[in-house]
Amino acid sequence: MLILRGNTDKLQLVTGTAVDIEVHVSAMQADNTAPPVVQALPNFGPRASITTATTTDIVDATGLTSGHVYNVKSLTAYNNDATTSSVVTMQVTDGTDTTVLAKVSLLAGESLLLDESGRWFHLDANGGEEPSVGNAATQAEMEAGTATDKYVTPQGMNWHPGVNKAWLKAGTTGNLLNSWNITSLTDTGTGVLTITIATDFSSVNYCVNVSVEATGTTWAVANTRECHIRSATMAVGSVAVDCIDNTATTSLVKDPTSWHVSMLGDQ
Amino acid sequence: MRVVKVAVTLADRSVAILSFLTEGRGNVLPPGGWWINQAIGAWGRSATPEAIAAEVARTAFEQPVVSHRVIADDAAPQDRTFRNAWVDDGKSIVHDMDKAKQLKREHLRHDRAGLFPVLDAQWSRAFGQGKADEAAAVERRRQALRDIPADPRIETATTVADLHAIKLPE
Repeated sequence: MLILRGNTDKLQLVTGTAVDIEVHVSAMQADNTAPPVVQALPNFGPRASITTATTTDIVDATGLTSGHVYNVKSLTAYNNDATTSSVVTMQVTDGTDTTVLAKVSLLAGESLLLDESGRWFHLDANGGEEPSVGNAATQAEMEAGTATDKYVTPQGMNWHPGVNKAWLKAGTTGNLLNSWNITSLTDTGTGVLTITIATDFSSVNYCVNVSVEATGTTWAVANTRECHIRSATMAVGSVAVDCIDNTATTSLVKDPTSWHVSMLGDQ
Repeated sequence: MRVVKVAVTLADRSVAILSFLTEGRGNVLPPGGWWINQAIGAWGRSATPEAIAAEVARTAFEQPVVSHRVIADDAAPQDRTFRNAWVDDGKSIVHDMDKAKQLKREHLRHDRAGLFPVLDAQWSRAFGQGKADEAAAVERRRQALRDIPADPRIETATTVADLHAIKLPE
């Protein structure tokens, strides 16, 4: 429920994007007699669709006599667009001051609802109430990793210091078999693979784990491989790894059966 | 995963084969990328000359980059025995035979290294037991292994197939 003062207040909807926003208002009018006369407003109900990015007067009480009020019992703003979202802002203005009552990003099929008790609800395309995103951990909170009153979103997972920022499995020739946040692999030479990642680390002080698949199930000398982070190759956006057969007096670079690399650190 | 292969020639004439991902997965888009399916982090991007040049520039090669060009997926030789002898002649990836010959010598030295302790033991036993003929035979094999990196067939080889034909002496 929302009271709008006669001769003063307007309830407005600000649409941030040109989509099809459909608004319905259910309201009553009361005068200042004793006892007050309360009556429904037959000219309210479904409003004309708002299809531009603009500010629209939803309920205009400025035409009422001072002392009379509009009592908005409920209100719905629905995004009827098939694909595009829009930020919508419900606000009240008296011509001098403007107060925002609710502001949400409505995805396609979502709606903003004011009920008779005065509560605002953000409903998803299935009519279910959206969870509060106000308690989702921010990037700073995820990187700190200490909050106990925040929840983790799939996006936020990527910011936690204990989570791999990038990983890959590649074949002998540096052929990528599966990956996360990798943009290219370079076969730099026998037993050398250079990896370039999607998002640079904030410094070269990040952690690289590298392993290789053995070339056989028996522990014959010929099956042994030793892998490393290649010396002095760590840059913020790429790193090289290498693999050798060091089982003879002269070590030799060798291609492994497959490479396995993961990286942790701050980005 | 879809890639475009790029041959990157470095200052020492070696060639690196960069696989530029045109489809990948992650929580962020690469520059110029778009979501194929954001719900699973699947993205795509075009292999434009600018995007490839930027990717080459972002990759920390151990040698300065001299040039790069897009190559066919199967342009690199299948045989990786002499991988470090690959060079890009501007039309295809070929073997620098001087480098390949040097690699062949390194491979032979590496492969023979494990044989010497065994032969040394055989020679000591034969010598200690007064079996001069047996000791001499072991010594001939040891000398053949010592000489193999200098096998003249290495120097006269004209293809990597010629190098593959050279084995450790029996």
